[in-house]
This record gives sequence, structure tokens and C-alpha cells, in this order.
Amino acid sequence: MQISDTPIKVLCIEDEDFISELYSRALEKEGYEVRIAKSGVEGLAQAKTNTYDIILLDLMIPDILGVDVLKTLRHEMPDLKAKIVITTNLQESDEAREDIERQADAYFIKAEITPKQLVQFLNSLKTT
Amino acid sequence: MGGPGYLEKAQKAIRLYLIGWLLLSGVILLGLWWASITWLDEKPLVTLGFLAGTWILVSLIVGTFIAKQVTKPLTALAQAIMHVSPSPLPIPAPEVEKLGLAKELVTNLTHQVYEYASHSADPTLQTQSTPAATSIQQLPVCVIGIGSDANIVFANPKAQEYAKTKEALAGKSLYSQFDIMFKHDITLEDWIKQCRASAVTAQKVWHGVRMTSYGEEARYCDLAASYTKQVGQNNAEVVLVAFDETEAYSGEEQELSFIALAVHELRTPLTILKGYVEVFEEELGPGLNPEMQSFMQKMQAAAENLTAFVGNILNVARIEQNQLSLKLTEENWKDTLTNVVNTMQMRAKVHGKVIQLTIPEGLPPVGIDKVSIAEVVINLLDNAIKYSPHDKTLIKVNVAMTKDNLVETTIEDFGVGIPETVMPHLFEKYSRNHRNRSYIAGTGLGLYLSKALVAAHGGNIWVRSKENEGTIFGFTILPYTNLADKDKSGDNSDITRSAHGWIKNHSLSRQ
Repeated sequence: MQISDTPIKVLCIEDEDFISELYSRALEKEGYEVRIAKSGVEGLAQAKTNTYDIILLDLMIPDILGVDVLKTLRHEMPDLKAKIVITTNLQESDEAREDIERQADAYFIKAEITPKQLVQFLNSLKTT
Repeated sequence: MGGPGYLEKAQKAIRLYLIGWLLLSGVILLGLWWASITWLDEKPLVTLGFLAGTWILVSLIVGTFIAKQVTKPLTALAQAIMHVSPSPLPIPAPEVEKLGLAKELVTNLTHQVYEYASHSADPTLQTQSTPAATSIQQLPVCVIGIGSDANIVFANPKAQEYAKTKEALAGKSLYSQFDIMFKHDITLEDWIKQCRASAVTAQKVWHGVRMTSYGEEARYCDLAASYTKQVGQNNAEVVLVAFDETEAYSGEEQELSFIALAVHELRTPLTILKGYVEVFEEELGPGLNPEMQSFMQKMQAAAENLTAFVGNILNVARIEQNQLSLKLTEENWKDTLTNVVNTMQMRAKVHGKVIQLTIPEGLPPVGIDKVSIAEVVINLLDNAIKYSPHDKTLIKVNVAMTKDNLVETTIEDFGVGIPETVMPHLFEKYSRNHRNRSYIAGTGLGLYLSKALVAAHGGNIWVRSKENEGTIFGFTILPYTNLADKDKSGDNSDITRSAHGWIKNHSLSRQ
């Protein structure tokens, strides 16, 4: 996914400060470069720069909901290089989940995964 | 039908009457003329007048008789129509059997009249002449009749409104118009099958049925169905009446939304708690004394417990709303179970327990929803941990094939056991081991949920227990090859599910 010298850039769209702190801390320790966006508007604007390799997207965020950020990106940015990983604590209905499944690359319930486990998963993306 | 035949017969009869009567009256006239000149020759005019009068009278009587005979079929038909028409005074049906002329034609025509009359109760036809038909049209509830092929035979305007369409529903399949979901009850389709097998007529009422036209918002209805063994081809086999009770049932929906929201709010601090504990463990752990390390593990175990419990609440709510659908995929049971048991070892350890796992080699691949079946194992292990006293440290997990070729997993503890009085209600919601309520935490959701999840896998859950000796829970799951095709995961084959969510398989290799 990357040339080994440049760090992998992660956009973390997350409005909960403590969680974004935990994620960015764990990711930076492993050499990732993390940018945090605290709202849907900010996250979408950042994502549209197409400079990130991974987007961690929370669903319950201010301004624009995560689902709409996802839809907009898939609709307007067909050449988006980032993989979109949904990180949420929201339990979606089956229909909504299937809708997200079609568009995102992975989906995690934040409460069921520790920051370290998340990093391990992203590492597995990096190595393939 | 014999229509022209009847007309020909009638014309012939009239012709015969005319010719016959002309001949007959000629003979009578001649006869009378002869008689009058023989006996009454002095008053020929009187005689002629008498003769003419007699002739006219006899003609009238015979003419009336023949006219009556000829119009009898028409009268019968008119009576048949009057019979089925709404009228303040009931008019009896015509006695077609007594007809002489055109009996066959009238029998056919009256049957047609009766058929049309019975169809005029069909609101899709424009003949809304009977009060019954008009009432069905005006009813503020959805009325649909379906034939044996599940195609709609008739539907009132409200049904069209339910289906969100302006087109006539007649002729379309019920299931193409409505997505109907039943809560913990036999489905309409299966009920009709049962009725066909064993009943001539049957009625059933369902409450809180989700009856939605595709792509529209959910509508919750009370649904009543009336089955009649079908005789005619165009008749409705089942008449459905649906009352929109969305407002009443939306409370349950809101309950679920509330639970989903509450779960979200509970998970956020849990995420943070687990995250920071992990940081402490990683960065302080090696320097901490064993007691502090064990405290750290207890914090982690408590957070895991709460995470599982939050998941339980959500799943119970989803099961009750019939919104939990499992996607069964082909999995290696040894790997799956080993992973779950490994994650539970830490929770067992902080309570001083050890889980001993024994799995034979050569198990067939099983059809499971990994996340849900993990929840079952976690709930059963949680119980085993909870109900084992301090001095009983061992919990055994065993896997074996049953004689029915099912994969059976047992979870055995050597704890307090379950009192016999509790056993019959063990898998009910909020059921608890009451004797131990005072010192053992729990909500009584775990076994209820486990039973529902195992059942959704097509398996069975059971329990054997002896007080003060221990309890053994077992559940079966099906080898993947035994699964019905409809239960197998459909179009999501490119998605890998894990206890923590899902990953698209191709994303691991996509560059």
C-alpha cells in the first residue's frame, strides 16, 4: 500500500476526543500519521483531498452523519484511494448494515475492539 | 347455451298457435254456423253476435295460456335477478326445475346471474350494487382476497393505499405487493398450507404483523385471515383483513430505537475504559506488582463482561422485534470455539477458574453465524463461571458428534447446580436461579438469548443439573451440508465476519 519511508496517512473522523486520542496514540506508536476530524463536514473535506490511505469513519458524528459521508465519498470520489473502515458503537438495522457493507471496506464495533486490535488490523492491510 | 333454440321454439309455438287457432276457429265457426241455421234461423244476427263473442272469449283464454307458457322462462330469469337484488322484501328464487320450455337455457342463465351477484361483492369489479360490496369498498381497513396461487382476487381501495399503488391489485401476487413479517408465530404461507391439509374453513388473527409495501416505511398491522377450501377457480381461498396499528406498535419500534441509542451511549464509555486500561497494561504492566496486574485484568474482565451484557440487551430487543437475522456461513468449529474460549480464559482466570477445552479432530464444517454463536458460548461460560463456588475451579468444554450427525458442544461446571423448581423456566426471559439471586449477578437474559440464537441456527439447547454437583449445558449446531439452502449466507460471500465486526475479504488484498 505504501512506499516504506512515507508513513501511512490515516484520517480519523471521530467526535469523541478520548477515543480519537486513544486511536491516534496507538496508531502513531506504530508509525502511522493521523489526522483527526471532529465532524462530518471537516471529515468529508479532508477525505476529498484524497491524500489519505485509510479513513476511520464513525457513524454518529455532527453535521453530516457517517453514512452520508460514506455515500458522498463513494458517489463523488470514484478514484478515492483510501480504504474506509467504519468504527462505530451504533448497532445498525440489518438493512442499514447491508447498505454500509456494500460501500465500506470494514466495520468494527468500537466497544468490542481495543485500539491495539484496531492497529493490528490496519497492519494486516499494510502488509498485503 | 340454447338461446336461439329457445327463440325458435317460442316462434314455432306462436306460429303453431296461430295456424292451429285459425283452423280450429274456422271449424268451430262452421260448426256453430251450421247449428245456428238448423235451430236458430229466425234470428241470424243474434246468432252471429253470440258466435263471434264465444270465439273471442275462447281465443283470449287460449292466447293467454300460450303467452304465459312462452314468457315463463323470461319471468323465471327476471325473478332470479330480483332474488339477488337488494330488496326490502325477500323474493324467492325461481323454480327452474318446473319449467317446460327452455329449461336448460334458464338454468344456465340463472346460474350466471347468481355468479355475477356473488362477484359484485368483489370490490375490484365496478358492479357495486349490493350493500355488502359497497361496505367493503368503504371499510377503513385493508381487505384482500387471495386465490390458491397467492394472487390477489380482489382488494378494496384501502388495500391499494396500504400497497402504495394506484394500480388495481387484482391478479398480482400478494407477496409482490407486500413484505409481510410475522413475530414468533406461524407465517401466513405456512398457515394456509396447514389449512389446506386439514381444514375446510379456518380463521386466524396475528398481532403486530409488519406489512410493508416494498421500499416504504414499516406499517404494523393486526391481520385476520379466513380460509375456505377453494371450490371455484376464481374464488378467494383466503380473505385477509388488516388493521393498521402502526401507532400502537411503533412504541415497540421506539423501544428498540431507544435501546439502540442507550447501547450506543453505554458502548462509548466502555470503549474509552477498555482503551485506557489497555494503555496502562501495555505501558505500566511489566512494572506493576502481581496484585496490581491482577487488578488490571479484573478491570479488563469487568469491561468485557459489560460489553457482552450490552450486546445481550440489544440482541434480546432485536429478537423480540424479529429484527435479528443470521447469516450462516461455513466455518471450522474447532477454530471458532477455540478463539471464543481463549478470549474467555481471562475472564475465567480473574474469577479463579480454568476452562478445559476438548475438541475431537475431523469435525465437519458447521453452518454458523460466528458472532451469534460466540455469544451463546460466552453466555454459557459466563453462567458456568458465575455459578461455580470458589473451590470449584474447573469448567469443561467438550465437543462431540451426536448420533443424528449434529455437532454438540457441552459446557460443564461443578458448581451449585440448578434447583428443580427453576428448571422448567430456565430458558424464559428474566428467569434466574432464584435461590442464588442474592449473591450472583445477572439479568436472566443470557439463556433466553442463547436458546433463541441456537434455534436460529437450527439447533437445540438443553441442560442437565444436579444441585450442589454441577450443571451441564449442551447445544447442537448443524454441519454446513445439512443446512437448508435458504439459511445459507447469500450474496455476502466476500465478507468475513468476526466477533468484532466484518471485513470485506477483498479489502485485504486490494491495493
